[in-house]
Amino acid sequence: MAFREDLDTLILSCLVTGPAHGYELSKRIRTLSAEVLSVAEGKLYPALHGLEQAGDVSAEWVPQGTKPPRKVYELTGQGRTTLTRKQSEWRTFSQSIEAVLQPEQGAGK
Amino acid sequence: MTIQEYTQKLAAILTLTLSRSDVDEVITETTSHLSDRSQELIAAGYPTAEAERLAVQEFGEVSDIAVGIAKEFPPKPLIDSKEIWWVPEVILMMLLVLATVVFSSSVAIVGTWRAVYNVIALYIGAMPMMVIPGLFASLSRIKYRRFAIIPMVRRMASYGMILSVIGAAVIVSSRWTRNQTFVTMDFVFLGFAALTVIGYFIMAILANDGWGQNAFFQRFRRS
Repeated sequence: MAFREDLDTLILSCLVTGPAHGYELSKRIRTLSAEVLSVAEGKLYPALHGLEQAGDVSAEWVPQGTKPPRKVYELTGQGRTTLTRKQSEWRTFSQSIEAVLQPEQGAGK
Repeated sequence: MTIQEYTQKLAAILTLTLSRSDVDEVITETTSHLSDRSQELIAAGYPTAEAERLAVQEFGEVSDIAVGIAKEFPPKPLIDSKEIWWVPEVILMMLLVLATVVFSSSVAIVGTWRAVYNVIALYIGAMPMMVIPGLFASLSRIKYRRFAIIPMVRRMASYGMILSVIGAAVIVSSRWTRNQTFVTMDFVFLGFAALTVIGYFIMAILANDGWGQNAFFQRFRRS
């Protein structure tokens, strides 16, 4: 399933467990979604840059010896607040969809 | 497509709209990502070429990625668009050359130097300043916590070479117009200037980036 909507929320959520670089984040998304969600990996970086500009994540370049340096992202306090809000919005949204897809359960209540 | 081909293509597209520093940042991060992924695939048993091809394929179509990135980053500043990024460095160099002349002349006048040695005094004063423009220019280009010593030394050498050549020209013209004979220190400085120029050419011919990519130096390298 190609997940195109609200990539920002996925990223913020994956950063709750700790700082990560872009490749690590793409692996976390795949693993946490049991390989169901696949993000075109290159799309992560524009989203990460947007989140950095918004102040939801902070980033730091970490040298890797002879390898190219890695930019490691970390959730900020503002990012946690944003994530909480987005999680709440998502639950409301998914419950609404669920109610529409299974109207008989809603009517039976 | 290899990782190098992919990042070169991405950089070529991004250069049209993003600043040099932003392009550098994106390419560094992309290279790091693709290297990690290809290493993982190689460890899983894929041949190197196939691992790189798969890593690039998973990353996404280069034009799509470039469009996404261009939307998130600010447009490049005028100084990049006009290809006049070198102007501040040249201005800096000229100011420092001027400062060198003023400083060295002061030393020559205030000190007990005889007039004939004024030019020598100027170059003795100029020696440490030869590296300063290159040092400043190099430091201004250090980003993302990368301390690339080789490009930094090469940049310093570029300015050192320019100043040495200017100095050599001043010595020769000064002696020539005054109809003076060359003193030992003149030859010492001219030798130093010649060594700087030769050293710079060797570095440029051996370099894999910057001036080393210039067709002039590449011709020497091929032969």
